[in-house]
Amino acid sequence: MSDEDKKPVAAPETPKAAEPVTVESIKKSAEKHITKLGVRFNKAFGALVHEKSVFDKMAGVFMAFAEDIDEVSDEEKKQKAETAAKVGTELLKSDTKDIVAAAVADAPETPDVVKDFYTVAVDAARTLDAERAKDNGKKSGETFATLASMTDKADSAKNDGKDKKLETFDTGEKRLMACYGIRFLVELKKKFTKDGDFKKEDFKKALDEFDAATKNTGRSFQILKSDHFKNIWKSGGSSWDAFEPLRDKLGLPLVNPIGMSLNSLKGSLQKPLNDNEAAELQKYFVPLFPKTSDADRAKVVQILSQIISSESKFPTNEQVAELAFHLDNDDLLELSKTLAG
Amino acid sequence: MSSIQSIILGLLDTSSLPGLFKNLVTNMLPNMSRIQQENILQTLLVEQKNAQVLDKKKMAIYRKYSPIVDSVLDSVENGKPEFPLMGLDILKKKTSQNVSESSNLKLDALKNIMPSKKV
Repeated sequence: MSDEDKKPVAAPETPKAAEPVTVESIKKSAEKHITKLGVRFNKAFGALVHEKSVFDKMAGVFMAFAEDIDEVSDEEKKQKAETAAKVGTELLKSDTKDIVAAAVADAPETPDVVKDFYTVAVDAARTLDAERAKDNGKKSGETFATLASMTDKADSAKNDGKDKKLETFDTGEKRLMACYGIRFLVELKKKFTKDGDFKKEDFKKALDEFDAATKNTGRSFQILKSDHFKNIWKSGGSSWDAFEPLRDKLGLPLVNPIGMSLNSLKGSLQKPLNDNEAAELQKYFVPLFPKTSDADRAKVVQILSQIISSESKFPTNEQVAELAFHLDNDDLLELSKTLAG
Repeated sequence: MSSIQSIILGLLDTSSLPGLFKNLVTNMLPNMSRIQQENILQTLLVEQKNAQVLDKKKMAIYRKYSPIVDSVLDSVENGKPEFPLMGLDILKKKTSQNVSESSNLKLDALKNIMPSKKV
């Protein structure tokens, strides 16, 4: 027997079973192909740097390719939004208590204060969804779906920018966030108002308890202070455009006096306004808060200046409670409606 | 678990729905009405079908442009960069699209400045 014959023979490899063809596998394959094509385009451009006429023609082809891809991407976004809106509509057919129970199903020990806040959050979303479907040309379920998708963007674990581009908030989402935030505040305020009397201390206590109960859970208001959130806010759509309805309400000619007053008084708001300064400046905010009294409006302007001049630029629970206390509910509702479009 | 519920859960996995919605649907499904479940099932099935159509479009785009890029890369490797004839059709279409868009804009501008005729 030759040496060849004595060598142990490797067992024949069992052929790998073909990967089952699923929707997910087709999607991944299509995306992989498009990504690879993008890389090859890049390579071609790199090689054609000194061949102007070929380079220019390739640029024309690439632009046609980019347009075709954009068309498909736009269609994808549209379908994604439609699917989410339809499912949102079905979810909103259920009672709020069932939605909240489902939201905390994975954490049965969730404290009551958290469930209470979630109840307010769902009711505020439900109300806003119905109003925007009625008054602002949105589809039923669309607002609820947009708010839900924004929670995904705010989740740094889901939106880490590794496998695909980091998703940021567009102008519409920024505006909706402010609109919903104000509406949530109004609804939460109602829970702590008895016989027309707003219990500011109880309100502040509830905010503190909610913060403590949701710390490090990813369901806390503190997410709004995180670096990830600030990043996707800053790199997103124009904030200037997002709050255009508020600027319109203030009246463009008035924006300059506010800016000039702030500059002359403080120089870019490095310190909060004092009582006299706030009393002077509050009159420019009448268009935003017409039903709030002058004294309360001055307090609101002063608190806003405290927030803007703080390091975090984020309100404390005490400041939120003070703002809720001093602002007229009708003004808050009107602000929310102004931002609902 | 009913068959409709298990189909929905299967479709949820690959759906583009926000995470919150997936979580809510999963936990609320047993207590949802039959109509809610059927509506959600229909929505997810349509989503799946549409996703397949879009993925086919992406592959068609790939097949349309890939030979052009490959041809250019090959010509570069052969030392004589050349733009392939098959790419000219795409450029012609793009140019005529641009001309047509530009003409429409000029026409609209003319309509705005011409006085309207009274009959």
